[in-house]
Amino acid sequence: MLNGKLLFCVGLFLVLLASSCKPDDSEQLDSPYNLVLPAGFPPMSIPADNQLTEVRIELGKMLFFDKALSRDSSVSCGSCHLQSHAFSDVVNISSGIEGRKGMRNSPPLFNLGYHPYFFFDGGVPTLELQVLAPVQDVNEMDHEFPFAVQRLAQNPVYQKMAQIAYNRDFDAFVLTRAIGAYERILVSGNSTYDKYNNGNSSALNESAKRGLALFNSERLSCSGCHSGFNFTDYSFRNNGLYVQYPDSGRMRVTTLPEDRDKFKVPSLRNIALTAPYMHDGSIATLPEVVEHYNNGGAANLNKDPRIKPLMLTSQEKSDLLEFLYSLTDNDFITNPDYAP
Amino acid sequence: MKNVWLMVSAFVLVAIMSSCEKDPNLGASTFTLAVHPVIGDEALVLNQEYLDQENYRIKPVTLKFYVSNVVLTSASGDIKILDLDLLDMERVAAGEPMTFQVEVPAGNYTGISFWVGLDSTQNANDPAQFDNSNPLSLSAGTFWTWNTGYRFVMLEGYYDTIQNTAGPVSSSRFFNYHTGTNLLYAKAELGNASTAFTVAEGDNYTYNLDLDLNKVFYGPEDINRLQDATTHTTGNFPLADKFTQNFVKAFTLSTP
Repeated sequence: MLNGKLLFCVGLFLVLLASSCKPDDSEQLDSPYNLVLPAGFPPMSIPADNQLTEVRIELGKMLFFDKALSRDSSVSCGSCHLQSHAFSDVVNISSGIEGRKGMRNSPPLFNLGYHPYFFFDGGVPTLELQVLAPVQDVNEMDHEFPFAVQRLAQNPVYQKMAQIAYNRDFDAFVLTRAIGAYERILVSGNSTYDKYNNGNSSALNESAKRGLALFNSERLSCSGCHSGFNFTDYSFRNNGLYVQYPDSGRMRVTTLPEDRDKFKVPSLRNIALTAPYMHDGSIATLPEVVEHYNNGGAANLNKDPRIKPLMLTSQEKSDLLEFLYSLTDNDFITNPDYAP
Repeated sequence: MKNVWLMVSAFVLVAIMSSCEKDPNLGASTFTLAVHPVIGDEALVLNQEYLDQENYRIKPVTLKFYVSNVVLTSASGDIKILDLDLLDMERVAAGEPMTFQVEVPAGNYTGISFWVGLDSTQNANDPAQFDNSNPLSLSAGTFWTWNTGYRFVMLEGYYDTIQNTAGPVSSSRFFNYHTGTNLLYAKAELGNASTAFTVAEGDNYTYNLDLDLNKVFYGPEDINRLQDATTHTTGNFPLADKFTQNFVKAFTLSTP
């Protein structure tokens, strides 16, 4: 009888041992991604269902640069978001399939994990949901999302990676999560200004230092909206670009008249790389942007009260520009981890 | 020998117990709701032309809408019969009728109420988490990708801008009504003395739920189709609101 019990125990042990050794692809082949944040950056909130892993990010990067995402396989996300320009575009309005044009400037992509919502009107609340819009937009990729998924799912590499990264077949969940994961690691925080801000007092020249002081001054109030480590408070404001806008901005989402013609305040990081400027790319150069604010903008009913004539001298404009140029992060635009 | 008696006793006990179980089908009452989009007296088929009540030709090409939180109303309380579904005329064209069937307790019912659209929780879903068979998945074609949430009603088609009894649609204008946002989650309440009914145990009861597009366009809220041809809700909220109010009043309940 004792032998029988002993045999049972040994058998049970072996079964448990065998099951604990059962290979699990997702655990064995993928590993957590260590997102290193720049000094002074707050922790980044990452969704529970899309924690960063090596394979998720790699899959997301492949999808980001895959033209098969568009209906006629002519454009990818990377077609309008160029790393050399902080993942923005060089034209006022990017071309979608068949040269189609939308109505808004392609925004730069960095530090997106900190954004509370996406697009100039803030209509989309998560990075993952944001993926849906350019794919389905008739002026961008014009591809019904289920069809895009169906096409990409034919790719055996994507299928394999989906299994490893998310333990499921390639589907809409995988597509939105993987691109979201890749976009979340696009972190920029190593500009000349950052070096200065982190203790290297000689990183900024004297002109840039005077520009920084102007930027933070009550007189100019730039930092009233372009605030914090990411140089934006993510609010929606009208900066007096036009008296009447063809694009109602935030009001498109909220329907509230007080939101008419208001757009999300953009980050100023890498601003020297992201011309042309404004939500519609209507201002070609950074000096012209400074001139726009110096003039006080057009008389829009919802114009932010901070937008008023600044009476800047030539020297002050030059100093302000010097500071804005110091926000360029060359490491970010040359980082091979982000490249296809 | 003792063991044999034990086994026989156990077998008899099990046999007695199973014979006492209630037949699951006995007493189950089935309620069927069949939705019929119509224009006046005519059943609606997508891509066909109709003459509306004011002699304008109309050709609907898309009609889909969510119904949610469907309840049978009764004096003793409401019985929820459906969380949500997407009623899509394209599925009807593919041979899938807009019908759903549930089991309900026997009792006296006074009518039915439901909401057109999705409640705020349903409307906050991420469509990418659902497989294609789910009415909230991306394959439903109802999710607003530039804004959070779903389109509750999508009605698209062509109509004449001049009265034209001869047909076909001669001076056509595309119309496009997409309603959504939590503000336009609207309730339809149907039921009166003539539609009250009693469900007896084992009964099969069917309601017809007609949706008349004439009532959508010529309902209590004035929709000037010559001017009010398009709304994606946020771009023209007053029109979306009027459309919604007419839509929920365009249903009538009847027995076959």
